[in-house]
Amino acid sequence: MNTVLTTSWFRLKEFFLNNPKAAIGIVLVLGVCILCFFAPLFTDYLPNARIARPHEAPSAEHILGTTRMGRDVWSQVIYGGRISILVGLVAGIFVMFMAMVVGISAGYFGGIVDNILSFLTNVVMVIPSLPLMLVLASYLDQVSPLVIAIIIGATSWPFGARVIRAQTLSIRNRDFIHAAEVMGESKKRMVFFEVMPNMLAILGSSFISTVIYAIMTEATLEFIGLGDPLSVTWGVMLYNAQQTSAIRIGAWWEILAPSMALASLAIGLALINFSIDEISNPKLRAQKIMAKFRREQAKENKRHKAQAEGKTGSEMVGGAV
Amino acid sequence: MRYLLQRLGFYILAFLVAVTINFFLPRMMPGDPIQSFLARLAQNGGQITPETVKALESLYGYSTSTPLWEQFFTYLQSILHGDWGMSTRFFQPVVEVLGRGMLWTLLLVGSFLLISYTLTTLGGIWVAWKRGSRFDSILTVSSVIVSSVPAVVMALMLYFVFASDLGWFPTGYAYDPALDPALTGEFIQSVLYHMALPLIAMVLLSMGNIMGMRSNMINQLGEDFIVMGWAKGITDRKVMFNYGARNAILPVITAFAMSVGGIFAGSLIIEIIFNYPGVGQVMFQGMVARDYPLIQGYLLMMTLMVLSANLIADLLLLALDPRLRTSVL
Amino acid sequence: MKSSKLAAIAVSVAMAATAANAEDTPNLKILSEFSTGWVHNFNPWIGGRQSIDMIYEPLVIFNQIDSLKPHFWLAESYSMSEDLKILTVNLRKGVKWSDGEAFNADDVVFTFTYPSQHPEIDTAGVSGKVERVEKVDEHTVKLHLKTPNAFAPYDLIGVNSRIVPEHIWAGVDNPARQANKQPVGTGPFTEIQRFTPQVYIQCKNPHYWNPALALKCVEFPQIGNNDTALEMMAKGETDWNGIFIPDVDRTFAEKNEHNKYWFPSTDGVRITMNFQTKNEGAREAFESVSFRRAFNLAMDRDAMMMIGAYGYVSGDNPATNLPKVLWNWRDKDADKLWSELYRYDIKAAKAELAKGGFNDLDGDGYVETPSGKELTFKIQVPSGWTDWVNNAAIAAEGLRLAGINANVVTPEAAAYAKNWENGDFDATFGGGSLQSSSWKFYDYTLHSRYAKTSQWWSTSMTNYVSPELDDYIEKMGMAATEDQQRLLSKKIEMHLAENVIQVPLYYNGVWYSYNDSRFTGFYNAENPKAHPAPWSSINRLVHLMDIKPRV
Repeated sequence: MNTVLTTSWFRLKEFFLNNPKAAIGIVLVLGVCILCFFAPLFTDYLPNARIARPHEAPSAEHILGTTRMGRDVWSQVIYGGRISILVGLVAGIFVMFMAMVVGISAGYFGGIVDNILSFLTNVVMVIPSLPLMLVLASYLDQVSPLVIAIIIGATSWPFGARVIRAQTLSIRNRDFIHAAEVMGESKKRMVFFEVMPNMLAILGSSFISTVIYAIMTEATLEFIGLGDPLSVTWGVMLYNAQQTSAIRIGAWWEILAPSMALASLAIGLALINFSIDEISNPKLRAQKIMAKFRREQAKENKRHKAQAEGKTGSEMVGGAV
Repeated sequence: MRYLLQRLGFYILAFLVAVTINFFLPRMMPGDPIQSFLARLAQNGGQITPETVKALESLYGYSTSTPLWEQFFTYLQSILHGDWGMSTRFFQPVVEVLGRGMLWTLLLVGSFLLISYTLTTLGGIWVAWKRGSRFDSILTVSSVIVSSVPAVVMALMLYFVFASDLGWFPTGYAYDPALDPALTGEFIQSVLYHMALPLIAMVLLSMGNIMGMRSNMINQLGEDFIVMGWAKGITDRKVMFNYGARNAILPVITAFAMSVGGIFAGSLIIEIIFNYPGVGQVMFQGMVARDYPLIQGYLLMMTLMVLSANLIADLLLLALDPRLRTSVL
Repeated sequence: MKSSKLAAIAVSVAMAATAANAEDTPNLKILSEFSTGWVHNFNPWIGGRQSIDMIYEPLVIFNQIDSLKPHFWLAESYSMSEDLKILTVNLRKGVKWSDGEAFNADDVVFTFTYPSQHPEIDTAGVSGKVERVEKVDEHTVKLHLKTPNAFAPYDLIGVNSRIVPEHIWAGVDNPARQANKQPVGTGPFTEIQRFTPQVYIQCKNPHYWNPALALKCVEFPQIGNNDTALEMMAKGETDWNGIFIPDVDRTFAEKNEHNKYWFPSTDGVRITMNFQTKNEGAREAFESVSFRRAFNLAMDRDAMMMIGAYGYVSGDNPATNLPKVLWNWRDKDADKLWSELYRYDIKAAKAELAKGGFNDLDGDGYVETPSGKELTFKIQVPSGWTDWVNNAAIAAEGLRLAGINANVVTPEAAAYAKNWENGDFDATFGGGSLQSSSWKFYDYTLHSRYAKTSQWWSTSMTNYVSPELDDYIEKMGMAATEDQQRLLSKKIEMHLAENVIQVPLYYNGVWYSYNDSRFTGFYNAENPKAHPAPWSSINRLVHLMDIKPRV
């Protein structure tokens, strides 16, 4: 029992040391998520409560100051993060689902299925997403964060579908798939147990990219004014700050807080994404391999040096006596 | 050539899809240009009288009698003839309003593409060559950080620090209002000066793409033909460009075609924040005023842009990649 | 020889001097209209730049700050017949069009009859009000009205009566589509000196009739949004602005010692309940006077004025929500009744609710209706109108404190308006409307014929139908003397104060600011001569005559 824990702890530590980018990324993302989803532990104020004077600078009571309406910025950031992150996740899941269904089917089944699905993918891809989102959002009466998530999801899946299709195609033509076919494995089993496991890296990477994209696009759409001004999300915080000319009157904290939140989450996710890339493609791990090599070289040199010095030292000591 | 015709056929189909979406959307959801006009009037504290409404209704003449199919075909016809409707916000034909803004946006986006792709390609090649070095890891991390800052925030910071506070750059317009457009040195200089900050913002935000090129290059550099090139004794530089880069650039061209939509999206935000009179600014005003003919025209125009970019990319690929030529019989 | 040479020198020196003076007078820079790029269109009816009011002048300008006092413009005087059906207007003599032609009754007759043949330009609604126009002589016109109305002059010959030259427009078939790039008018600035998408300049009419005009040109820089405008205003680069400024002291007044502002009150902001809402619980509540009284008592108007409106505005709205310019029609007794309700008192609100039979039956903290139905409703406010959205939130907070379950929804502006057409809303946070006279104000906001019509700020905000009110309003329109009119307006004010039909909150402000480093004569709190904003029509022509360049 003890050894299992220590070996897994040891493995974990080594993983983090070998992959500093992943380590930092995971810490950032986990940090933001914990702050947001356990928000009541970190603040006393409700995000929508008017409890102070407008546009107060950061102080002991309100560590990130207050907004125009007298609301606590720190509370808004961490409660608002819940919705922003959820939107990213919902959009990400929606996109991944669509992309996987379309991409894997097209790549695996080929033929007419592939033609139809590819055509569909290309058409949706070619219609530019931001204008489409603007058109959709301006026609709808009221655009809540959930609706934004759906709109983003519905317009962004083609990219993922294309990548997944290409990957599926390349796996499909490998020997072990042919072997499984010959063995008589059912198509359904093959898709889930042979093809997909080999695509985990790319699926993971696509998912994370989509989440980053979704969170940023939601913030951008809300900043332009397409969101629901009464909800509390990072994008709406930026919108309200802009509407009340926060920067112009020197209330920098109102803009800085949601920006830092967005940036931290994005950086964290991007670093994780990058590490997935690196772990799965050793060619990209060049500098880490080099760094590790150099580190071990240095250790060797030090040991040799210590040995050499040790000999002389003991000789001298021995000699002295 | 069959390849080209296939692609062309696809593009025409895609355009039709966009037109269809544009046609059915307003008929499915609530939207009334007259109310939008009145909303603006109300917001500015103007007098709204029942008489104003009647006059507007007369001007816009909504008809509900002809069947849907007929309406669709008249709509399609007018689109193809260049009549994209009347903008309710600007009281001008949509084509004119969009055209005015498109000129400046194309200037901005065109310069951006030139600078950014040159930088990222060259940068990507060099960095891939130098992989494993200290410089590589610094660049990787910093480009990740810079590209993760929300575009909106980056643009706001640049605007407020350099244009508003320090006054090093102008705070809007495409050129000095006192000048008249002419091909004089003074005018061109003014245009460049006003374009500088938005351009810098856009280039900074796209620095993350260096990483894409780098990964591509690294993948290529492991290929056999590269080793073959070395074995043959060709100079490093030649291997890098003629063998490595030439292959790595193919997916870049494809990526470029796919990213055109995103570039215009980015330029929209930049134009709004820097008050640059491109098509993004126009769109923003149209959106706020719910000017549906304008918004729909924008969708069509953007689709056309993306399709054209794809077509150009296809032609380029045809020229650069001999495999495509021989595979078409 | 010598004398002629001297004369020549004298003339050239004089010319140089005047030229220097002309150069010295800067252009008056005005910020009042947003655009992404100016379009060269000076159509007098529809689609033209807002500055056409400096080209085509009205007959009379009614003061929008001072009880609609008339400033006679192209008309010298007017009078109504005894039966209130004929409006006689006497025109100013010696006025010329900017192309030299004489202005006379033919132009006025043309202006009032032309729109009937072209309904798409009839934004003033002339065809619905005027039966026929009679030319009495070169400088007198009689307007024969379709329906008798004591307040017709305010509606017909005010700023909407832009007089156009007959000799230019007679025979033009498609007036709405004319860009009218070189306009001909009687106004102060008719010469278009320069027109580009980023700026345009209108210069002095060489034949202008009013000697008080001291300016040479007005300049309109293009502004796309509030931020750009603020950028220019803060630096003192513009002279006359009509743009909303957040935190005006910090962002504007403190930046330059010549930056000044004055925000007089305009129309009243209010919350209205839809008496014909489909929401059953809400409907029952709205029909109870106690509920309506409680609603008014739960409004923290001070917070709204301080937070949403930055403390720029004032309140003290009467029960009918008359705009400040019409306060001379307020009634003392009605005001006294009303003052009991126009305050923030949650305890009193709760007491009213209890009195009306509203109790919390299920213990969720919110009351149910007397018949036991669930009470929850939504207040709609246009998305994007930030100060209103914030204040609607404050209103909802107050209601919830009093135990009423109210929420805010933010549809976008066109949908918000569309909801009025079908009476598809519970409550609306909206404006009070500005109309040409007190009678028109009552008619438009209270008369039942405007219920469920989607007319902005009209009776469709409340859908309150009262034959008694209708009767008072109609009689007031027919009352020939002011005393008779006041008898009826008092009845209207009392009806509203007793029945508490709506929830007036505070007044919108006129966002007027200026920089007096280059010009003087701007109106302000010490010199409140007329409506000061550089907004098209309203009173800016009057203001223009008082602005002089600094020497």
